Amino acid sequence: METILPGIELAFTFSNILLAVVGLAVGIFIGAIPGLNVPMAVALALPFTFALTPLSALALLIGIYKGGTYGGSISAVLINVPGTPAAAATAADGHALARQGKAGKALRMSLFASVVGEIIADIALIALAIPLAAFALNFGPAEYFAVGVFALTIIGLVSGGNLIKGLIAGTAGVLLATVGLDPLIGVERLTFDIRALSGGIDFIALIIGMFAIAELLIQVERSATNRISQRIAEDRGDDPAAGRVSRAEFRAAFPAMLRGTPIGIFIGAIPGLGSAVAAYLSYGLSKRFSRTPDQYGKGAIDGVAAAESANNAVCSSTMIPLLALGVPGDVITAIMLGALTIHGIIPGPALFDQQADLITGLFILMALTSILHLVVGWAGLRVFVRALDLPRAVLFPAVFLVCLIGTYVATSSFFAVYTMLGVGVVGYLMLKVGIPVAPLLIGFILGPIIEVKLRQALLISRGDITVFITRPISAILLLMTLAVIVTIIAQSIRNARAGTKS
Amino acid sequence: MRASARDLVGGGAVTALAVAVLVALPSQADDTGGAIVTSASFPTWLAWALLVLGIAWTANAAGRLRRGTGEADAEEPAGWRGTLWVLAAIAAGIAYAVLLPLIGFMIASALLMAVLSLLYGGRRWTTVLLPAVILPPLVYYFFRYAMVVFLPSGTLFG
Repeated sequence: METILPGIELAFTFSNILLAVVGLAVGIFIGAIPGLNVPMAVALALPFTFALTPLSALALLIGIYKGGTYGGSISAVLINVPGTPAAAATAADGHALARQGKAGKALRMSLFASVVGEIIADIALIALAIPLAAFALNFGPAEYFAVGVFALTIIGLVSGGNLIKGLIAGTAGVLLATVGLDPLIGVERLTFDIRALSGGIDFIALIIGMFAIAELLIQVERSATNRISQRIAEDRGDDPAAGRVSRAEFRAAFPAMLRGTPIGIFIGAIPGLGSAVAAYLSYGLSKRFSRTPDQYGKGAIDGVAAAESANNAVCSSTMIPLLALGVPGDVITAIMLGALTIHGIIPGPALFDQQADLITGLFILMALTSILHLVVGWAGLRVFVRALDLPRAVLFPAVFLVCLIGTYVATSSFFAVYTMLGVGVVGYLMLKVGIPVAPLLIGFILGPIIEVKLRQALLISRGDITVFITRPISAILLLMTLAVIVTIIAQSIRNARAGTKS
Repeated sequence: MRASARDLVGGGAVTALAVAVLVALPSQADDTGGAIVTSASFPTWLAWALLVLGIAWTANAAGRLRRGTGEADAEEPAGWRGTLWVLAAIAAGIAYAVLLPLIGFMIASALLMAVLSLLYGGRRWTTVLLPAVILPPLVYYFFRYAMVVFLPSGTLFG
């Protein structure tokens, strides 16, 4: 209780509110544009957070995360092209409504459902993160090693759709993290006598290269072959923002939101699954429970509500493992973990003890951002739909410029700029051969945790490797990791056999 | 190129990378500093894991190619023009980083914007030149006054 007032004082500052509003607006704008994505927006914002306090930095990043996840529904509804993967489930009914001249209704329902999902998930975050952090105070190096391996394995296995490629990305990320000084004894590793590498591969250069430059190169390739139109949307009718949600429609869709939100909370708290999975699960479940399932795909407004409440609930629940355990649940929280580390804050159970005011402030800020989301989304809807009118030939070069100058400003190093371009080329090639980039970044973030905890556990146990199976939490987590690996491999073999037979 | 052929190239590249790391590691990491797990062990294990995964990917792709079961690409291949555009965009980025300290942020950024705009399909002067002239000063003054960061003004012009 004694942390609530200082927390409110920390959260309710003019700069925090302003940055949350800016973050939401930028997030919705970027999320609405196919080709630009939320991790890219968060990565590009990172250099701008260096001059801010930790909470102000988080206000901006959380705003982009929440706004961007909702923003994907704008293009999904208006042009049937989801701005983010999470909005794909929204497109089915949202665009059908738009074709019936009810685009504004679909966009507003999407906003309401997103905000309802966020607010309930914010409450779940507060309710779950504190006991989880208290429980995690009992964790030693063996448990942290097991948590890191579990999270990385799940993310590597499920995020790419291809088992081997996901694992390659995750392993490569951890390997990249070993470049630079050894975290325990301080000797150089894999630096090839390049002085600029002794501090390791720059985090900013890695994420901007991997998420922004790689995607921009894919887009330039498409523009060379005229596979994308100059304008994102050519014809969307007279006023795409027209149409309101009646009270009866909101009441009818509310059960779908209440079903979708817990799904989003659950999926978000498990590393690697992400908002697209949550949206599809919620959409499917809502259809099953609906009195008019035949309307789904033809303009069911509760279908929009189900998908959007679930995908935005994920934004808050991915913060549960990040804050309580220091383990990111998805790529955006991995970037946030990097941002916090840059500010000298290490998420985990100790943070709840040592900086309780900051944690309280962050919880308040999460809820505040959800409320501001409603205000910004409502007031700016007519402006955000105009994002689809921007010529790509203006937008993409501007993003390219921000990548270059953002990296330079954040690092004061041209080496980092070259590294970013190099990483961008690698990311482009990875996308071309179908290797997912998210596990690489998560591996890069989790790599040092896994290595340090592994070595610490072995030092404490004087080299006894049974320490990982004699401690119950560690043993359970490692068994779960093994079970997931075996299940997914068995599934892949079954699928491959089925494919060969057919 | 079919997906399985592309996988074959990708798998080969990962395998080659893992071998290169394994060859380089003895001179690039100390075998000290830990019980069982030394400073060199972790990267060595990871490189071995990458090698196994690279070989598995290559073998899988080779098998699909031999059976002719590799799925076709989802979209038309980009061809030489697409590759050329990608290389041009990368070259523009490198040129920008080289020129930035020499000619300064304003001119380098204007040139970059104009070149990239053409690569992204801009044809009218309003999309190629106008943003190239307007955006760099906006970014410059944002950094200077909002972030208190001075962007390079260029050594060539004093």
